Amino acid sequence: MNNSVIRTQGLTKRYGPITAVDNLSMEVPRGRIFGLLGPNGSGKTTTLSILLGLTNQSSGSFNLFDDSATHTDALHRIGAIVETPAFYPYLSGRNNLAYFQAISAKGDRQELDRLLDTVGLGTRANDKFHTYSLGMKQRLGLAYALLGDPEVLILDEPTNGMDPAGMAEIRDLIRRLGTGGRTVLLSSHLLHEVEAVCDSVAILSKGKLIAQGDVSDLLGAGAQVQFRTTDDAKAKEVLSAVDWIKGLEEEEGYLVANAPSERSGELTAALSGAGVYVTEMRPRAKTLEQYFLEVTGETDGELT
Amino acid sequence: MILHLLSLMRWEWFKLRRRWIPWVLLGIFTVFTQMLVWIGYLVFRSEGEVGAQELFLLPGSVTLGIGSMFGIAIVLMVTLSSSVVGTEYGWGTLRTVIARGPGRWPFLLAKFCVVVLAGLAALAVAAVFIGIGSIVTTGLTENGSELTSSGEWSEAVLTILKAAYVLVPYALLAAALTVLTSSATVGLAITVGYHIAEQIVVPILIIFVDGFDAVAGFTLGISANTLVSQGGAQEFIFLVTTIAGGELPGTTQAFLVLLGYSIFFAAVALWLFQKRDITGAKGT
Repeated sequence: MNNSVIRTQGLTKRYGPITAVDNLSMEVPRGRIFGLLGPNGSGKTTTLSILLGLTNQSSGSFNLFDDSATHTDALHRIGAIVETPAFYPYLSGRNNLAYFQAISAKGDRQELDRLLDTVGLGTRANDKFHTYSLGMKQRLGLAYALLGDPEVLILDEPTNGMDPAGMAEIRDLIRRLGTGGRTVLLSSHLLHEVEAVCDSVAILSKGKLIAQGDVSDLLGAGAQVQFRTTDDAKAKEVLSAVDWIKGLEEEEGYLVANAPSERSGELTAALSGAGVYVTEMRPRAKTLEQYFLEVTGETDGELT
Repeated sequence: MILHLLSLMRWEWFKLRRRWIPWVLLGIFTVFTQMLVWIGYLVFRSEGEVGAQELFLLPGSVTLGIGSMFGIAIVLMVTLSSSVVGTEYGWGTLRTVIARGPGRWPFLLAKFCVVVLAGLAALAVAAVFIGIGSIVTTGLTENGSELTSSGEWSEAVLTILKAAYVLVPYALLAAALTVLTSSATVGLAITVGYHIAEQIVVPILIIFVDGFDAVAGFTLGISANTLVSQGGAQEFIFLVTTIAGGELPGTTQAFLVLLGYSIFFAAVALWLFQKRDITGAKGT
């Protein structure tokens, strides 16, 4: 069994002189929660639209599941919301779901009730869609995406328009949905959201793939250790000669070394060997925000 | 494939009958056809004009009612078609639909079929109301039961079917233009504009351009009029073709020309729908 459920090869989308997606090659591993991260206009929604057959790519290709699956068959195994979910305003939430369930020929009436309860719309299920708030529309979108118990969920900014409690609730739901072998592809410009929910991530900027990998690997690769010593000046002199320490700075009374925390024992040994003793030490984990700013040069934690 | 299409049609019907627009359009058409019945009754009662009784006596009232009002039916059908296709763009629901994998062609084809069925159903409903109006007006007329219509029931049924057939290319033209422009309003405006312009321009060209009457037989409007029109419209076209020394196309030619237009418009709509990117909500 192939370990990737979505693969793109050199995917490119141009709108006249603008290149929305630029030679994108990425793999979404099976059974993971995969984040597609980037500021607005970075090509996330365009990429998802191409995968869902809403937009035609200018060049490149992509595979859903395996090579033998037709695109229509593959779509029946995918649940997706792209941008703000759009539904028929004159139909109730339940009738909207019933319609979309019917056109994909999966599921039964009990599924509708269960999904409406899951997303917290049970009591408003028979109200017309046009009476829903933005948060309720997002919830209905999530129920729509879950119709037919799909193998892959593609969620584009699923917490958009929700209050903080609703956002936390949906993140928790996404984490639960990502268990049991289901793959979730979560697109977001909210760094903390992706960091809190995703196992793996691809970072896009101006349509290009900047970085891809497990969140822990990406953040671990640039890990730091911060510490105090009995003699900081001598400590700097000693550690500057250690080749696996890639940098050393002073910040707010601490020395900060660019070194993985797993090697902190070696670091203290090197210092004590020179008569410098560590009085306090702790790993300093890099946040996804810091990593993102490093690799893209962006300046804002919520990427607008 | 057929079962899938039928299922999509069933759910398109489900959506259509929950909207207000088809009911409003049906109401307008019914009112117009009723007006003919009641005008015929009032003229007959006040002036005793024998020709007027055809407007309210069954089954001639159905033939005249549907045949005379099919110009209005075209405008209403175009409105329905552009609305059914265009609101999917306007509301952004097209993305939500296509992402579930029903297939673009089957989805649009199901819409075409449902719009045509709705048109046929509307004509049938209007005919029923014409029948009810006829029964009431005949009952109100002194010795009404002794009056007879020169029309035939078979002719009435044929008129309904021919009117439904004539509506198809107009509905498909509106759908194609709506897909082209991604807008119900623009699709509607261009189609109605074309319909009106054709009614004005073609007779003028028949009169003033030598040999144009031969070409005119292949236009949408002349073919539609040839097949269905009763009363004023057909007489006008007959008049201008006679003045210009030409002839109306035969019903077989008109039937084939309308079929050709229907296939062409459907093909263009399906091709455009298949090829183009589907964007988010953009208003109607």
